[in-house]
Amino acid sequence: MTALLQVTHLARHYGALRAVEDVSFDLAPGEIRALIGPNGAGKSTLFKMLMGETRPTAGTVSFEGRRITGLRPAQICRRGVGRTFQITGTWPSMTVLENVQTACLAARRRTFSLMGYARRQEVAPARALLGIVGMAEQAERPAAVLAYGDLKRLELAIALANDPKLLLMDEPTAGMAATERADLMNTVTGIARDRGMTILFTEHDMDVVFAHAESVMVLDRGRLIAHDTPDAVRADPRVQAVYLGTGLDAAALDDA
Amino acid sequence: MIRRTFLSLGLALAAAATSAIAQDGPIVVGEINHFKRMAAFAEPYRKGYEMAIEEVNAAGGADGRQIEVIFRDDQGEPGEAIRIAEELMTREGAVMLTGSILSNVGLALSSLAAQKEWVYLASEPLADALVWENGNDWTFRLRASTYMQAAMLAEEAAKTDALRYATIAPNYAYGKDAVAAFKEALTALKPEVEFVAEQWPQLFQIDAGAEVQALERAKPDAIYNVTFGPDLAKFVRQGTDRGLFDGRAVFGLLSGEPEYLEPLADEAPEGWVVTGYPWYAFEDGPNADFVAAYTERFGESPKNGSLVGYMTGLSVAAALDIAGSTDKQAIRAAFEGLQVEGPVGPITYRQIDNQSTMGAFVGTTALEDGGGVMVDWTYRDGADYLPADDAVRARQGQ
Amino acid sequence: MGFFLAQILTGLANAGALFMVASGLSLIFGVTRIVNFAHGSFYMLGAYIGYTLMQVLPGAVGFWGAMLLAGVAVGVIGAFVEMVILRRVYAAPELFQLVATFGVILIVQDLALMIWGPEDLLGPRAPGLRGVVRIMGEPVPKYDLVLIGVTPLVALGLWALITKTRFGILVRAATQDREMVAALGVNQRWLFTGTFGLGCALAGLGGALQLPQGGADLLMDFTILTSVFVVVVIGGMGSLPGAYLAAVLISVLGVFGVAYLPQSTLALTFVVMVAVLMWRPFGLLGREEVAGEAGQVGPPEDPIRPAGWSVRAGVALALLALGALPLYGSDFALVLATDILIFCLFAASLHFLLGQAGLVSFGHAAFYGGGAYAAALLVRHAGAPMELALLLAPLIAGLLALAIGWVSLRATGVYFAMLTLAFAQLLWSLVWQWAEFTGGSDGMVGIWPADWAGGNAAFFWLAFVLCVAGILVLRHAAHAPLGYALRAARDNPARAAASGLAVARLQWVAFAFAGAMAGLAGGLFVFAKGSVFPNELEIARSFDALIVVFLGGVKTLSGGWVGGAVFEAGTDWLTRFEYWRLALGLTVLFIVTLAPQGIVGAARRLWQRGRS
Repeated sequence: MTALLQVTHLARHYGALRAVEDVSFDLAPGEIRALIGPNGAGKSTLFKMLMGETRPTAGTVSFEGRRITGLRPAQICRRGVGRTFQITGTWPSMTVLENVQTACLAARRRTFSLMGYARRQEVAPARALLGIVGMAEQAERPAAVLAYGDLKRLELAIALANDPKLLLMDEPTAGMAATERADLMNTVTGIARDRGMTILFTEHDMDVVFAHAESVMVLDRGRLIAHDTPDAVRADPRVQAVYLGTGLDAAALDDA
Repeated sequence: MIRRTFLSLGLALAAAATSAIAQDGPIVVGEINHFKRMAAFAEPYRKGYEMAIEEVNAAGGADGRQIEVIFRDDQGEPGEAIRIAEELMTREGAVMLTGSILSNVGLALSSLAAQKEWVYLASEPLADALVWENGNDWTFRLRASTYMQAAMLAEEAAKTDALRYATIAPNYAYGKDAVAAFKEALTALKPEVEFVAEQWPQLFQIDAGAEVQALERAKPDAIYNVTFGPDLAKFVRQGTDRGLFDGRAVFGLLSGEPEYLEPLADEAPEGWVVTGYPWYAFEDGPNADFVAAYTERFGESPKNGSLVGYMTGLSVAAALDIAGSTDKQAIRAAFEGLQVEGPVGPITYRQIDNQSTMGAFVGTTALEDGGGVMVDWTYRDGADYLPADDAVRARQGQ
Repeated sequence: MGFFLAQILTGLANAGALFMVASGLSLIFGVTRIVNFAHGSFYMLGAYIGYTLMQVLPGAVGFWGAMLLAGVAVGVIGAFVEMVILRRVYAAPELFQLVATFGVILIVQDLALMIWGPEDLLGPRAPGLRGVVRIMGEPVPKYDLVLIGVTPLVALGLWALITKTRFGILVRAATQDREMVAALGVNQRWLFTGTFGLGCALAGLGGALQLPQGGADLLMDFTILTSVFVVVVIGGMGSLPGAYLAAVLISVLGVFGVAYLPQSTLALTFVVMVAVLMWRPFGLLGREEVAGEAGQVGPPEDPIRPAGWSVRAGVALALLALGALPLYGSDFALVLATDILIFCLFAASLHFLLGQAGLVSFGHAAFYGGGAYAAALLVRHAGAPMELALLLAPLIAGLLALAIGWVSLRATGVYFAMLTLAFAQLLWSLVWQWAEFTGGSDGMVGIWPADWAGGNAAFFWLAFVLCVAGILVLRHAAHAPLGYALRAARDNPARAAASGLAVARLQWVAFAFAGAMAGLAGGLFVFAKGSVFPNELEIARSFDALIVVFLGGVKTLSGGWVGGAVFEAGTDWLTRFEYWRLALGLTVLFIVTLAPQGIVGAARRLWQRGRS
């Protein structure tokens, strides 16, 4: 089986600090994988490198067999990689529908156009995406007034506009109530299965991780220390050691 | 949105509404100047102008009608000046325009004057281009131009033994013209002189210490200064402190005008040969009468601008009187070769280039009672310091 | 060798006042994120107040006391300005406060004229420090040595204040992380007031300190402003050591420039600034700006929508009425309306850049003046007819914007703004200097419209068609995909990039588009006035547009041209009064404090309140 995403010896150093060190892994098409690790383990830095927002110090990232290290985020997006942010990224000066329309326009590469009114373009696909994430009824509201959970859903719709083959989600459920989390993750995994989309997500909530991930990678101090099924990871003494050292999260690991 | 558009429209309409001119009222003249931006120069000018008009009106006005001058501020912007000119001529019923100190505003107004066939008397701007390269039939200039004043100083410079000259002038058209004219006139009189340094500080941003060091390094025999205003004060202070002027002849364009000399107080340079206006030194005659009347009227001593303003008022009155109508061609024709009798004597607006022959006072600076004055001064008639007619025509591009 | 040393000493002495003023500006920006355009005015006030005090206070103690008192007095005035005016506008959109500081400039100019009169005042000499000492045979004024010594002392004092006191710790915390200060529970209001007062006191001290070298005059507020901006930007906004380093660098370079490149001193500082910013986009000792901290962002604007049919019909009627002006308006009404239309297009082009792309340019005059000069040069040197000149003016201005944008867009926020300012100044000094080609400060005159457009009415119609079309195109662009993409890139650049939007290229295109439209306005301006002078490239012109856009309302679609129309018409009316700058300044402050959302924003709010 050829890997969709191939990460080899990826590293990022900030002076003496090794935020990410010699990380290698493959993602197969259709896989749903979680990336966990205590605060400061390097999850966000790794994500930023995958998306081209941060340049790696060493190593390469390949997508569908082609190197994407060194490309800009917009170029990586056009290759078929979508992304959501830990701090939810939407465009507050637009309505919910317009947010998705703009993302659709970007996917069609029509963003330099002066022709016509943007709000009359890409209406159908945008509404369809909003339907998928369960936001159809809020289409005409300004994004600025949305509740937090709805913003997360909106961002998901924006990220799906390009019909990505791989979706990177940084803390997709952070700051949401427990029921909302399950809803959102069910939506996400549902979409992934429908479309054959691959998902890599970071998450603090172990309930979410073990309920939705097919496999789990554990990052600690920049290094990948475990990669296995959720159950195996939960049983891994190294992983437990990492989480024991950080107090609260270890309890979360046990509870799950 | 509708309302907003109507708002700006309304403003335009309001401007359009009031355009009635009384035929039997006073003859209106429009004056445009930088009353705020160059207040130190424009205010004395305005006072002199007003005084002349008061006197003319008291004596029966021009061609039997009173004269009214409308003073307007252009912020020192050529674009604003153009618009105000339009308003004065078309809405306020002005029959001609006067004013400006800055050469760029003067040039913009003269270009408009030629286009619209309106008479413009450029009272204070000094640029040579105003009557030569960019001269036109509709623009007249009162004050002695850069070329004339530079030529007066060059004449004095040629009388000294100095051979090595350094120049310092603000880095814009006036400064460049002033240096070029001085070089031309001095080299013509004394071909063996050489110019060993040229300094070009930015207008009103002089780095005086550095300029003085650079001039000193060239070891000139004499220095030709064109800086003025706050630049001059800084230059004089640094130059005096660092001994730049010791044992050197210095020639200062306009440096003797009270506008520039008075602020220097007891630090005014001594022994500079300058053009200026020694109002304090007139004992009798029309110059003294003017100074007395002005001091009486405004409770302050006149500046050079006061004299220029006064001559502007007299020139306007004389031209309107001769024109005998407010027809623009008639006024223009009246200015051609117009003779005006003023405190400094008779002046003529020359046929060839519309430049008046108003001259300037040339003298040597000295300290008296804690202030700078001009001594050993003489009045130089401007007519003697203009190039030959052929040269004028060449510069006019004919 | 002696000459060399003397030059360096002169440079160090010159750095004194420059550092004081620049450090104050830097401090204010670091803490409050206000770009204080009025900083030069406080410098001027320091000079005038110091002068007056020196006349009153006797002897050497009086002289030096007067300097300190001048600093204190200006600090108090600054604190007063902050409390009465700026406090009311902190919640306003990013950089809006600079409009308020612009109002302060106008008011101070007229007040200074009223109080101290129009004549230049020669600064008193420092007692006992007249004359020179010889160092390696070169004369060095004694007061220069005092300046060379005093400046590091003030810098050290500032450093101690910033590192050793509680106030200083708060200042640093606020400079580095604004949210932290709020979290610390510090009374942010007094921190801001204190910092603004301190910054102004430094400016005042700088003004008083330079008295023995020069004096006080009414133009000094603007003459120092550009150098101060340059120093602060080269040093790094918010960095005091950077300000000192840059003040010394610029001053010493200036002195050598005077000696070895006397013709080119104009351009030198700006070349240095551009070079430094290309090498270090955040100044020598500055720190990268984190997105969103450039100022108080304020609430996001409401989503825009195209006007409804009734509004369109209304606008069409209004345009019809305006277009028919030649049928019922006087000659002057036509000329005024033409000027207003041209200015509205200029303002609308900057408004597009600010409002849609979120790019605050301090040098938009480069393209307005660039278009004007392009048209004038084409007519003068290539004998181009008006029609061709008007066609090429926006193209050339757009190309110019492409070039300038390519460099400037490497920086963000205030540094981007400053780079645009530096390029505009470079262009200005090029035009100023290259007199054989551009006419220098004497400009180019006699460039009048073609015969068919020569009359006031015909030219009004030409301007009407082109300006209205330009404004409508700019407005439509906001509704087109480009506008949405630009707002997406502005609202959240990371999200935009992750969605495949080419953020940098979008902004570049917006910059060029706005530049081209400004160029069209500039081209029209030349033929309206028949002449062009370097004034059209000046900083003041860039500021005019900036003020107008903020006054109109950045977060509205009509803010640009409405602000332009109101400002241009208001100025035309106000300049008829003796103290028009005071009146205009007060009007600006009035609008700023009453309607921080700008004229259009406030009108919309009133309208919405009226309906609900």
